[in-house]
Formats: sequence, C-alpha cells, structure tokens
Amino acid sequence: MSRAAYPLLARKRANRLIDELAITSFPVDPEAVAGAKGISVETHTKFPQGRYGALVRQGDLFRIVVWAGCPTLGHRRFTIAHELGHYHLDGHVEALLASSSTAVSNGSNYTGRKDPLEVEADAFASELLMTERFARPVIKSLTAGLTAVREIANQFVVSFSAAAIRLAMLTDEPVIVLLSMNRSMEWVTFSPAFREHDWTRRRMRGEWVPPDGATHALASSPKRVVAGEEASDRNLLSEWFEGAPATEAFEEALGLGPYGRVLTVLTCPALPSAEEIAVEEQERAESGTGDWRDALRGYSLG
Amino acid sequence: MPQPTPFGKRLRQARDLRGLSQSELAEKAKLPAVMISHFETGVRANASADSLVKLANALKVSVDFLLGRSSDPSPRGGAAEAVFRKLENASGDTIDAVLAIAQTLAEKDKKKREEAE
Repeated sequence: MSRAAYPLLARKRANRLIDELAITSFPVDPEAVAGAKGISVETHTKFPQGRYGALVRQGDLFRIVVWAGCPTLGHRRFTIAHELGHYHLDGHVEALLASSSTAVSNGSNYTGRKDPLEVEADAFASELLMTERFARPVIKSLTAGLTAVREIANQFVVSFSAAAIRLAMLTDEPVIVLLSMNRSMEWVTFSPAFREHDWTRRRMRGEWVPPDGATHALASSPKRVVAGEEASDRNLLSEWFEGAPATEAFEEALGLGPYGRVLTVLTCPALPSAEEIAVEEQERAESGTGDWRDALRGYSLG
Repeated sequence: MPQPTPFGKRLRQARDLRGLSQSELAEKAKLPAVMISHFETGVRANASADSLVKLANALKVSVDFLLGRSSDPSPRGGAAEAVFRKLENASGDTIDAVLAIAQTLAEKDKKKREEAE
C-alpha cells in the first residue's frame, strides 16, 4: 500500500476509537480519551524549542507530556490528540521509541512537516477532534470563508489552522486554505471541488504569495500579524497559482500571532470545471486569438 | 510471501507459553482474531502501542518482550514500575504494608505452582 494512503487509515483508526469509547458529542476531550486508555497527561514548563508534546514510554506505561507554553487551548488539545495518534497507529511506537525512552514530536500542524509518521499523527488528531460525522453537518451549515474557520475553531476547540484544513477537506465549495511565513507558502490545502484540476498537484511549499494581495499586505506588518488582525481582497486565482484559471478569488487573511504566520482562505465562487477550462483553451488555440503561451498551458509543458 | 517479523515470532512464542489459541488470545485482548494471525505471519508487520499493551496484558508479558527488546517474558518490569509510581507519595507504613502483601501473594503463587506440579 502506498504511504500516501496512510493518513486515510489514521483517520479510520480515530473513527474506530470514537466508536470504541462511544463518544456521541463534541468537542471531544482528548485528555478524557487518554485517561480511558490509562495514559496520564502531564504539563511541563521546560521543553525543547519548537516542540509541543511527547509520548513517553516507561516499561509498559505510557504518558503524554505537553508543553505549558502551548499558545492556545486548541493547540494543547491538538498536541494531546497528536500524541494519542502515535499511541494508536501501527508501527509508530517501534519507530519513535527506539528504546524504553522518550519520543518527542512537534504535536502541531504548524510547520508543514513532511515526516510520514507526523503527517499520520496529525491526520489522526484532526479526525479525533473534528470527526467527519460531527464536522460535516457543521461545515455544511456554514458559508465557506474565514468566519466559518472561526466558527469551526470555536465549536471544536481547535486552532484556526486545524479548523481551516478541516473546512477545506469537507466543504462542497471551492476553497483553498494556506499558511505562509514571511510571504512564503508552508502548506496549501484544496477542497474536493479542485480534485480534477491538474495544476493543484504541483508542490507549492516555498512559493510566494502574490505581491498585491491582502496576505502580502498583512505579512508586511509583523505587528498586525502578532495582533491577530484580518485583511481581505479580491484578485484572480491565476495570480496565486501558475496554471490556475483566471477566475475571481476572494482572499481573507488572518495573522496568527507571535509565530508570525498568516492563514489565508481563498474562496472561488465561479470556479470553472477542469473540463470547461480545457474546452476554453482548445477554442482559444484553434481561433488563434489568444496569447500563444496561454494556448500552450493546456499541454503541461512544465 | 510475508515472513514473520521479530514481533510476530515473539507474539507466537508468548501465546504458546500461555497455551492460548489465536481466538482465545483475541478474546482476552479484545482484538480481532485475524489481527493476531496477521501479526504472527508477518502480513501486518507492526502493531500500535494500544495493541501491544492489550496483547502484553492478555499474555502477562512485557511490551519489551513482544518487541524483542527483552528476553524475559515476565511482566514484572512494567508492573513493578506501576507499583513504584503509586507509592511515590506513600508513607513508610504503607510501603511496609504493600511489601508484606506482595510477599504473602508471591508465597501463595509459589505454593500453587508446587501443588500443580
């Protein structure tokens, strides 16, 4: 099985745990879940820089240690759920706990990390705290955008970035969420409405946000980012991503505080289907009226 | 064709030691029987900590034994640690009482084993 399928399995495992513990309402309390498994949760003030949590094994006993400096309750909850992921997912304990010692993980989805075990633990945590059966009806009742992100974060007691990713995963609307640091993208998540758009499959980490949008403007003022200010703008999706259609994108940006990152939600109400884009490009190529570079874009030159 | 992993071999060894069938172990550990079979045959190479703890408890062995990190199948490492942690804030009298109870129970176990032999 491809490793790419493992986050899906991690989500299934979180769902099984919710069934096993007969959890029927949200917000899910990850400390209570840990308690039900005989895992104690401790808070420590001294922690390696940039790390939020750790799963610790001593013999047959496991405990979760959380950094006292977690910026919000949402981060603390996600960290505990992330460590519970390491506990419940196949192979994690052997990979992380090489001896009877300590496994330390970041316990947050802030860094755009690539380690498959951490990605899986994040997927587990996301599903445990915002399981589909609870989150989908909530998301369906909201209009996609930053207000919806705030509402999801509030109802499920998770960070804004965790809520934004869940929104993008479960909404029927064309939504893109991305996190940037110093105007450089750390991760990008597309909603299923973009599934047939080949241009979304490119690796986008490290690409720059457009210079004339709200995200750029907000990121240009660290004080505004730290203060958690918002900004919004309208621009074209093609200004954000190479190969994207020139459809209108409504951009909402939110400063995420002292970490200096900006969360951006792009909504594209008139997103053409991949098929419509292909037909339009074909027509333009045949009529010879378009720019020759536009005509070539449909042939995936790179 | 998958080959048994060190974990799969240890699981089989511990199950044989306790004289349990796969389905009996599955029932005791509250895990699907097919999972035990997959672990032992190597179809499923790794277990979660949750499954390891359930299997270790059901088989009365340590997690380290199942992982191949200890050759001693006795669960006393983890159990002793659990007792130690609970006694961290106990008074001297309580600790003496626990030690006396432990000794009585151990002697009782020894007598049972001798009778069985």
